[in-house]
Amino acid sequence: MRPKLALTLVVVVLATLVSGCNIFSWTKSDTAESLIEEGKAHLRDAEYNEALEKFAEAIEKEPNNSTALYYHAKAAVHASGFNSLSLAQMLADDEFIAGDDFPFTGNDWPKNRANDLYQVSAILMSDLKPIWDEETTGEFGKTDIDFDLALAAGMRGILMFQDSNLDGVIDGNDYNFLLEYIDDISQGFEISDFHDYIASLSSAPKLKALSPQDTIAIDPGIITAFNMLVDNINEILDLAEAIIISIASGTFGLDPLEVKSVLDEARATAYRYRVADGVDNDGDGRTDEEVVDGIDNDGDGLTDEDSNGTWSL
Amino acid sequence: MRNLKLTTVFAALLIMAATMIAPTTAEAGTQRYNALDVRSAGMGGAGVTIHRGFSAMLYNPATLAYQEKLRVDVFDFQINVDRDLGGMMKFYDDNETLFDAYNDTTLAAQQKLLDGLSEWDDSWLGIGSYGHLGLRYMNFAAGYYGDVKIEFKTDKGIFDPRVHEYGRADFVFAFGGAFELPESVTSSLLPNPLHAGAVLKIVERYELRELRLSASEVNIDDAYDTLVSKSDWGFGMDLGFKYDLKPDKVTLGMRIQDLVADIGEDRPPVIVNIGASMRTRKGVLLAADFNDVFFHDGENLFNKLHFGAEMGLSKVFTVRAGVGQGYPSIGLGVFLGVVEIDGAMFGTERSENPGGDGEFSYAGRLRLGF
Repeated sequence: MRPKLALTLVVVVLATLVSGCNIFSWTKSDTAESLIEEGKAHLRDAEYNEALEKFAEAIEKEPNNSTALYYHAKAAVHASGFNSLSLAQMLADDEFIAGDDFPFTGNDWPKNRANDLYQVSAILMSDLKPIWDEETTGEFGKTDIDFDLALAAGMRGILMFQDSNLDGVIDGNDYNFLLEYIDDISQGFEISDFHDYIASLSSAPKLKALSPQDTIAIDPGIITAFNMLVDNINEILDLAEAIIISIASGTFGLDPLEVKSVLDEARATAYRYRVADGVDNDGDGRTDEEVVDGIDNDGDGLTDEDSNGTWSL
Repeated sequence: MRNLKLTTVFAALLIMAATMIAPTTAEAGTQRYNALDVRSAGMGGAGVTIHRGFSAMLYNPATLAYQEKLRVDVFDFQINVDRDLGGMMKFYDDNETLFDAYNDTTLAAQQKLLDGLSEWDDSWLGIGSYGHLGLRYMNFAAGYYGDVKIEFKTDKGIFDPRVHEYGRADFVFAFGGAFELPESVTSSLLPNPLHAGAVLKIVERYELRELRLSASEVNIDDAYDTLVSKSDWGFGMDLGFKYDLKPDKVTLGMRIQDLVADIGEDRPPVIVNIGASMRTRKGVLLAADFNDVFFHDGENLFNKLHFGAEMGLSKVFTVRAGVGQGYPSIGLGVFLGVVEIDGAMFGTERSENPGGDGEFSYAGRLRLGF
C-alpha cells in the first residue's frame, strides 16, 4: 500500500515537474510587476511584439516605473531588428565608410528602414529620458541607460534631417536633403541643395515668373517650419552630446572631445541654415547675409547659409 | 576626406556599446540558496519543524531539543545547480573559441552569439554549494559551515549586451542550543512543553557585488578573484520556538531569523517563518511552512507557502515530494549507516508573483557521520 501511494505521489509530482507549471499561477495579480515578468518571458521567446504590449500595459499602470520603461525600450529595439551590433555592422561596412554618405542615409538606408530606426529612437527617447532625468523609481537608474539614450538621441537628431516636415515619420512627403561633407575639415558638412528645398516648398508658377535677378520673400510659414526643424535637431543633438561627454570622459577609447566636435558640427550644419532670424548663425561676422539662390554670395565656401529669407532663381 | 566622420563615430560608439565594462545600479537577483537543505528542498522547502540534526540550526534552533545521542558530521557537502545552467553551459562550451576571441571576432559572429543566448536572456542562473563540519549532543550543536553561491545572467540589453555576475560566500561558526521553557511560563497557556532555541553565528562574508561585464570579460576565475577582494566579518542570531501539539505527532514551530545581525554594511531584515508538521499513522511525515509572515519583501501570499511529505520506503530509502512557492519538488534519500546520500529537484520563484519567473534546480548531498 505504501509503495503504491509513494509511486502515485511521485508520478503526479513528476508530471507537474515536466510541465514546469506553477500551481498558484491563477493567483497572479494584474500588477505592473507581473506584467513585466510576462513581458520578459515573451522577450526570452523572441516574441517581441507581445512583450511590447505587456510592458506598455505595465507603463500604463505605473508610468514612472523604470523597469517597465527599460524593458519597453528593449523590446522596441529588438522588435525592430536593430541592435548595436547590427547597426555597427551596417555602418562599419567598408563601402559605407569609404563613401561620403551621411549616417543613416544613402542607398543602404531606404526611407522605410530609416523610418523604422526613427520610430524606435522616438520610443527610446520617450522611455529612457525620464530615467535619465531621475523622474522614475525602479530597478534601473540613469547610469544603466545613459549609453542607450545617448545613441538614441544621436541617431534621432541625425535622422531628423530626413523628417523635413516634422510629422514624426520619414516618408515620401519629406524633402530628401543632400547632406555632403566638405573637404575642408573645419567646415564639416553642408546642405548642398537648400535652394532646391525652398523651391520645392514654393509655388512653381510664381517661381517661373521670376528672372534670375529678381528675389522674392520666402513664405514666413516655410521659414518658421524650417527653423523649427533646425532647432529640434539642435536640441536633440545637444542632449546626445551632453550624455556622451558625461559618460565618455576617459572611460572609452574614443576621445570625447573629438566626439563632441563631430556632434557640434552636425548641430552647426543645421544651425547655420537658420533663416532670417537676425542672428549670425554661421559665425562669419555677418547677419542673414545670403539670398537662397544656390550661389555662395559671401564667398565663404558655403551656399545659401544664414539667409535673409529671400529666394531667387 | 575627413579624419573622423559622423558615420565613424556612430560605428565606434555602437561597437563600444557591445564591449564596454561599466558598473550598474541594478540589484542582483536573489538569495535563493540561503543554505537550503536537500531534505527540505525535496519537501517543497518546508523545514521549520522537521530538522533534527545540524541543519536544525539553519531552520529552527528550537528543534535541537529533540537531540539525544551524540552525532558527529565529519563531512557534509551539497551542491545546487539551476537546471537551465546546463543548457547555457553547453552553448558556452560549443562556442568557447568565439567567446574567448569575442572582441576580435566579426560583428556577424558576435551577433550570432547574442542571438543564441536569447533563451536565457535576463535570467539569473546559478550554482551553490554548502558544507559543514559539526556535532550535536543533547540540546546543543556547534560547527562550521560554508555557503557559497555564484549567479550570473546575460542581458542582450537595449543596444549594449551585458553579462552580470554576482557571488557571495558565507563561512560561519555556529553554536546553538535549545531548552524547555519552565512551566511557570507556559503551564497556564499550554498543556505540553514549549521549547525555545537560539543560534549564534560568527560570519565571515566574501562578496562579489554585481558586476556588468562585456562578453569577453566573462571568466569564472576572474569572478572568484573579485569575490575574494571584498570581505566582511559580522554576527547574527536566530531564535526559534517549537511546541508539540501532540507529542511525536503534531509539532508547531517558529523561527525568527536574524533577530540581531550585522555583517559589514549589511543589516539583514528580521524574517519570521512559521511551520507545522504531522506524522501520520502510516509513518508519513507531512510538513508545511509559511515564510516571512510579516511580508517584509512584499511577495504574493502563495510565494510564501512550502509544504511537502516524506515517507520511508525501507530502512534505506526515503522518498519526498512537495510544493514550494507553487512549484513541485521531489527528493530521494539513501541511508547507508555512516553514509547518507540525498537528492532533490525543486522549483523557486524569483518574481513577486507565482509563475512569474520560475527556475528549477537540482540539489545533491553526501554526508558522512556517526
